[in-house]
Amino acid sequence: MSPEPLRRAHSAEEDARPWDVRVDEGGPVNVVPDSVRAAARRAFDARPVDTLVADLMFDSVLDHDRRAAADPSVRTMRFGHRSGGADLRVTDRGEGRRVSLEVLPAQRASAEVRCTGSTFTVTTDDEGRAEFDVPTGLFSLVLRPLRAPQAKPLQTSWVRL
Amino acid sequence: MTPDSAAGARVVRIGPAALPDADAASLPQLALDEVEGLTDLMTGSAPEPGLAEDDAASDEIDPFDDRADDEAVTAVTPGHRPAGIRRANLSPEEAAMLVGAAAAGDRGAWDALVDAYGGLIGAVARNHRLSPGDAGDVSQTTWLRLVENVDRLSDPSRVGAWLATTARRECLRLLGRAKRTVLSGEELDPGTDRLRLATPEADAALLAAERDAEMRSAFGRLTPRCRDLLQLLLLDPAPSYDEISAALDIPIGSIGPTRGRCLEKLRGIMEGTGINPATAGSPRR
Repeated sequence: MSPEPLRRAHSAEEDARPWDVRVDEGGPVNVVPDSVRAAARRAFDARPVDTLVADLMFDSVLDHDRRAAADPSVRTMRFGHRSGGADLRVTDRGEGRRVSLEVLPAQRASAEVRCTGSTFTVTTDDEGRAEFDVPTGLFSLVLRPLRAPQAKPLQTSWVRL
Repeated sequence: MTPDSAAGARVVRIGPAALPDADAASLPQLALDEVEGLTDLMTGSAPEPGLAEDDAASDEIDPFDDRADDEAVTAVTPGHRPAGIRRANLSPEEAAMLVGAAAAGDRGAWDALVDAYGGLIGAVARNHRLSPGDAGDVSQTTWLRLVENVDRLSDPSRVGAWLATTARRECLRLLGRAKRTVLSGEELDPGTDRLRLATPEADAALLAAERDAEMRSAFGRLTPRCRDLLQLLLLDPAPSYDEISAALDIPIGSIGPTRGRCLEKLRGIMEGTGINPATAGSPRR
């Protein structure tokens, strides 16, 4: 996994801002900013290879959730694949996010956490639970059940926390 | 932007602050080439997407024909595109072919998809009034979503509509998550935490063209749905009705009639101001 796709698409240092209009000597052309186009091209490096993708099935930001409505500071998500999945509970933690992970079905698993600027691994308990902090930005997990190391890892869809 | 391209191009903010004499706050963001495009739409010189325009454009430039590309470089270099010429969008067959190739690991095919649909995703983000940084985030997340699903699309020929829908959902996700949204074209003043207009760094002479301002003013008096639809219709390459339907979440069948009503209303507003719609849009080429 290349860390390239995890960079923020737009940099404040750039002189041009996304969706501005570039004016060449012959006239204006509405363009996709180079940084945005480059980030889109780099996304190709993040394509799943030898992993199964657990799609984002539920996101309290978009989908109705009574618990989320009661506490808007909590974001819940479910990633699913027929071979398994994961529930996430995300809360603000200073400048970043605190993630509570629950692997489905409950089992001890290794979770490779891929987030902005770093990749690290946590191990869930026998109930499939783990907690960790991540910076805001893109986020994905690669889950490997410890009792079946030969099984294909499960990769969650990229989301932005 | 690379230094080279920056040297040959000026970047201007097309925003309310550039029009000091107008009712700045009410004017929508409308790029200069979009002003010209609206003129074409109103005067009927721009065919509807997916209809005659595809045929007309395919006679001019085929982005997947090397020979045509060479011609395009000389005849239609960026910034020198003659009025009325628009790049052809991907045909469903081409889109499906590129999706298949990208799924097989062809980076060139992926880049071609990015080139073909990057503008569409940007337009969806802009229609949701996202800040530039958020619009970039939506674009990046949308492409990551495609790379995860590129070998699982039920109909690869409709990848444009799939991207538009995904981008729209990412916009909603981002808006739902955000505590507050900074409107495009405006910035937060760190001192007061209030919205302030962007600095008027745009080329005053370029923006002072009265007819362009009138067009922006007239455009701003349209309903948000009309503005969103017309701006999508002005994209280059032009999205198909299928993609517009996905981007705006409206039935395909209503696009044509809505387009007609919106253009009629725009024409009426322009005529009401004494501006001949046929001559609106400053000549720049």
